[in-house]
Amino acid sequence: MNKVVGQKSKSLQFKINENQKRVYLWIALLLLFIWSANGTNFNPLLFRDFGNTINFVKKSFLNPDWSVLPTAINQSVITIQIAIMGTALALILAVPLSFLSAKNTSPHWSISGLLRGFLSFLRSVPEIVFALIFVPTVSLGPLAGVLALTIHNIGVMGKLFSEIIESAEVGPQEAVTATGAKRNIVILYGILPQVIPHILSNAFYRLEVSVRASLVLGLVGAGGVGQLLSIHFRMFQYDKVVVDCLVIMAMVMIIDYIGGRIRRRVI
Amino acid sequence: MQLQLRELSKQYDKNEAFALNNINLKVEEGEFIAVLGLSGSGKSTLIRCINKLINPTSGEVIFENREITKLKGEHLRIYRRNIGMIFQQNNLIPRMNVLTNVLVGRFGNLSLSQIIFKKFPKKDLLLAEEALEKVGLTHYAKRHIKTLSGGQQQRVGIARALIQQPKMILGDEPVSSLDPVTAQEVMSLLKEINLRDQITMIINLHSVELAKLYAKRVIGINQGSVVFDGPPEKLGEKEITQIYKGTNI
Repeated sequence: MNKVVGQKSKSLQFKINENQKRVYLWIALLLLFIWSANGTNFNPLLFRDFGNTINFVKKSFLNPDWSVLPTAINQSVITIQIAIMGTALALILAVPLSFLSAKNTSPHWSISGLLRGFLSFLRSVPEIVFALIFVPTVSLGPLAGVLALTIHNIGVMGKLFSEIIESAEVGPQEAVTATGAKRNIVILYGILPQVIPHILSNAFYRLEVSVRASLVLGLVGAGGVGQLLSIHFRMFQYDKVVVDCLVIMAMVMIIDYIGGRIRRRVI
Repeated sequence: MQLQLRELSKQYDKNEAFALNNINLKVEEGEFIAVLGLSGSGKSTLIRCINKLINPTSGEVIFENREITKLKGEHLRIYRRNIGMIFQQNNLIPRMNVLTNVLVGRFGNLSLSQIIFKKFPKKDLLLAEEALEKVGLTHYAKRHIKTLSGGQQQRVGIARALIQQPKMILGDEPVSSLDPVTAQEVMSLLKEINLRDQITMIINLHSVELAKLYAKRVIGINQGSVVFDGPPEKLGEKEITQIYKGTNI
């Protein structure tokens, strides 16, 4: 009898502890929120002057200056070209790197480890930093954007691709190995045909991401419609800014749509 | 004697039970052997030790008077060309046509540039044609793997093994994913090849019925040990229970 009572009180104790834990968790989350609100000067009272924003938008954004449309479209094309170059170059370099770094295809574990570290470094540096670094060499313009995108994309693609390679089915690899073929032939026929569609699909996704990234790179002078936007903004030509924004929105939507369709096709 | 396994054992991990436990077998040239056993009994491990897709932990595999468990590099590759292999999921290469998949069987003999630029020797192309004829897929050379039925895909797998001109074919449950009628067709084809070309067959099977129909010799494996080895006629109720005696189902 005693034993049963003991058990009951124990489970009750457990429940109280659980509830306490939950309360502490909520308090911690609330403190985290207040801390962040403080750091960002978040003050709901500031929204009293929201009318200012509405007036600003009315005055400057509702009278778009369409004369800038052809330039904006031309610059968008350059943005897309930057993204294509930054993705294609990275694709060409990332494929061999990923085979060298994937555990199942790397010639040696030390090569795999070193490359992983290197790729992780490339990923961790934002494109904009690479763009700023390259400007002194290739000066302002699209080429700086292409180089920055390429380097960052190598880091991302190299990791993605090596994971795809590592998860390739062993069946076809066994089948080619069993014929007495060399290791490089096993990789070429037992792994590559399996992973190509996944690699291409990811490359198209990176192209979509690169279009958006190259917009940001334009802000530091790496060409394209992003640069145009930043120039108009700094010169307070908001009637032109609004046209730039519309063109950018249309471009991003079109690229996402086309990219999505292609990705569904290749897989 | 073509193949001998001596005290062959395999342990995948030090803390795990033996997948193969002291296997002793002798195989004569031209035999048709069915290997029966539960999933996880060690039949897949057994046949993979024969062509060294898996390295045994201890024991010997002697093929035509040569110990092969220590073979490496070029010597191992040359040895593997003697032995064709077919699989449950056929393991064909996706996005390539039937002919290329059959020619994979010659990849052990070809250089990388010959393969990449598809400069296959005339002899190999003739062998491929012959192999496709043997499996009844003469007009399918240019077809894509995707467009074939399960049975046809398995036939391509058999043609790929045949083009190696092997002395032995290993089958890892080659008919387990097929419907009963197709399974019989594929087994008949293997039997035909066995009788005509004197190629030794060691085939893992799920079905006692198929083993009785096609094999000359049945090997029963339970928890990594041989518990039956004899002609299918001797495979009675008692022996079958012995083979399929589970630990806990």
